[in-house]
Amino acid sequence: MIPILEAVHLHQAYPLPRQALFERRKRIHAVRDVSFRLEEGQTLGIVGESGSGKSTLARLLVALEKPRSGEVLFRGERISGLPERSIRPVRPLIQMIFQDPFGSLDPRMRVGESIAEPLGVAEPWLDAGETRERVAAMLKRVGLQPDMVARYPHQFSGGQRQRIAIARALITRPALLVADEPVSALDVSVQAQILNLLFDLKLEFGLSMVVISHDLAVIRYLCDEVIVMEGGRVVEQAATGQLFAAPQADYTRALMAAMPLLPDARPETDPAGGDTSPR
Amino acid sequence: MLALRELSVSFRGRPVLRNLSLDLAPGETLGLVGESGSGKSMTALALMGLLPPGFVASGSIRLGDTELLGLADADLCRLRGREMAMIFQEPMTALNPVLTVGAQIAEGLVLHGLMAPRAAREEAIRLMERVGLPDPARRARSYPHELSGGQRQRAMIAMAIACRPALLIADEPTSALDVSLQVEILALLREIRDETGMAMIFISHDLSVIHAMADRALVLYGGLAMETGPTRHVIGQPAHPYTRGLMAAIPRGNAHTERLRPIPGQVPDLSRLPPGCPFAGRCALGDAHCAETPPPLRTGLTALHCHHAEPAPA
Repeated sequence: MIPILEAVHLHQAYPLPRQALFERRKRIHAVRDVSFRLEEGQTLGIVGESGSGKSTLARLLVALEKPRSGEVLFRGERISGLPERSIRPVRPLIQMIFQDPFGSLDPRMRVGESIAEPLGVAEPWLDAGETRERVAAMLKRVGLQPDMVARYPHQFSGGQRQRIAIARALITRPALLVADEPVSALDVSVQAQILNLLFDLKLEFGLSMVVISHDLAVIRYLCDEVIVMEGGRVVEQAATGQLFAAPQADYTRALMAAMPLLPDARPETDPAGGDTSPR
Repeated sequence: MLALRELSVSFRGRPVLRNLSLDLAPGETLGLVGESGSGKSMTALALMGLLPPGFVASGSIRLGDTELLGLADADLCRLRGREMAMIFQEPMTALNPVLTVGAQIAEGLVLHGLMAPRAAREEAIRLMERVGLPDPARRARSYPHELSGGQRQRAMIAMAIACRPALLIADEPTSALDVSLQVEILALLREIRDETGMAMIFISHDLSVIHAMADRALVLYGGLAMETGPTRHVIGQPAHPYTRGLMAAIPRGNAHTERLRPIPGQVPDLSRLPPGCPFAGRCALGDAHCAETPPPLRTGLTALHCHHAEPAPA
């Protein structure tokens, strides 16, 4: 089977400012020789500390940046290093959500318009009524009230804004969702709701996902396969269960040792209820 | 050493923190846990006498023999840095960008009349060495922007402990740092606490960090103490529905096999809190009575404010 996403020897570097006029330009190598395959319906986790190159890799994967060398294949077709015009037909199939949904939503746009916007590009033949229906159904699916379309981003909490960002990303029925630190800015009690929502939507929409996080617990929860990055390189790649049971690379072991652990005191009965829908 | 009695903070008549009482002994660490809007940072600012304009505190805060509430600014200034000090999440905004790091660390020592300027400068270098800053003599002449995030946090710790305060308040000191740096800074804070015997109030949204740092934990929600007690009991055998919900919301496995049970609903807006229990609207045990009447205090293995849940017997 053709993988949904494949990275082949990806390399990205940025020039550093010159310290002296005739000095040779130095480069910082943000991503070095990264290769992997992501099968349809699977979730790949990319974990690493700040400066490890994980966010640069994410931007390369969704063709927001052109790699210095190497290529990105989406369902076997190259999407890297192409002019924007050639990528445009694929864009609706590859969507991204970010850590801070406030930064990715236009503050002056009503939430309904924000969610409908990508639909206008992907399916320009839809009329106003059809668009409204799609937006309302999507809002409901992510756990918001359809009558919230007329509100502005600042009228929502952090968790609700991330739900809106997810609705906007999924409205075009993408095949691949890249999530860059999707729950890092959220409170613990809300973070769990969004993690479950992402997992349910993945199954329901048959999505493939790439999840980028510095948080090993989030990676373990959502991902089937994990890449550990350090200094732009992949230092370990393994199935999630295997990685957490028997980490091989020294760096992975160090990361896991640094992860503060809680004693396993999960209450057997949960009086707070197990419901994912917000009130 | 530190005693809070019925400390409340309000803003335009709305309660932000309600009737918080606690005691802290020298050398002891209390962990304040809470989500956004729980009132944990307000508690720290009230202690330091740094509440923003418009916020009114009532009740009592006693540090040693001094009542801090209602103290004149000049008297508070004599205590801040000397008797109690605070470190913040983002050192870049807490450090002065136009002063060298060494000068900022030495400043308190001179200001509080503990040392002459020259001796204070030398002490600053010694402190920088103590908090693990490399090449301290040279680093003392650096400006904050020349340091990395972890180094800035170390510099702020050096500044906070310079006058050997009796109480150190740390507000999310490692939340902006990578995990490997986080362990280092937590270890440093523990070492310094044990060396100096200072008391510490450690504020975090992260239960695992509280678990690693605090002897006792206090869980805040919507300005009210939900549950408090020895950390191992609060985290290991929580009795309050909110604490139990928080523990169940932390991912510990894979979604295929160990699905999370989130607390439904949103963290409430402080302006829309019910007069009773702030958790009433999200709690599976909550009823109309909960929303109307402030919950009673029940004491056992832990102490909790709840109409329904009983603490485990002590």
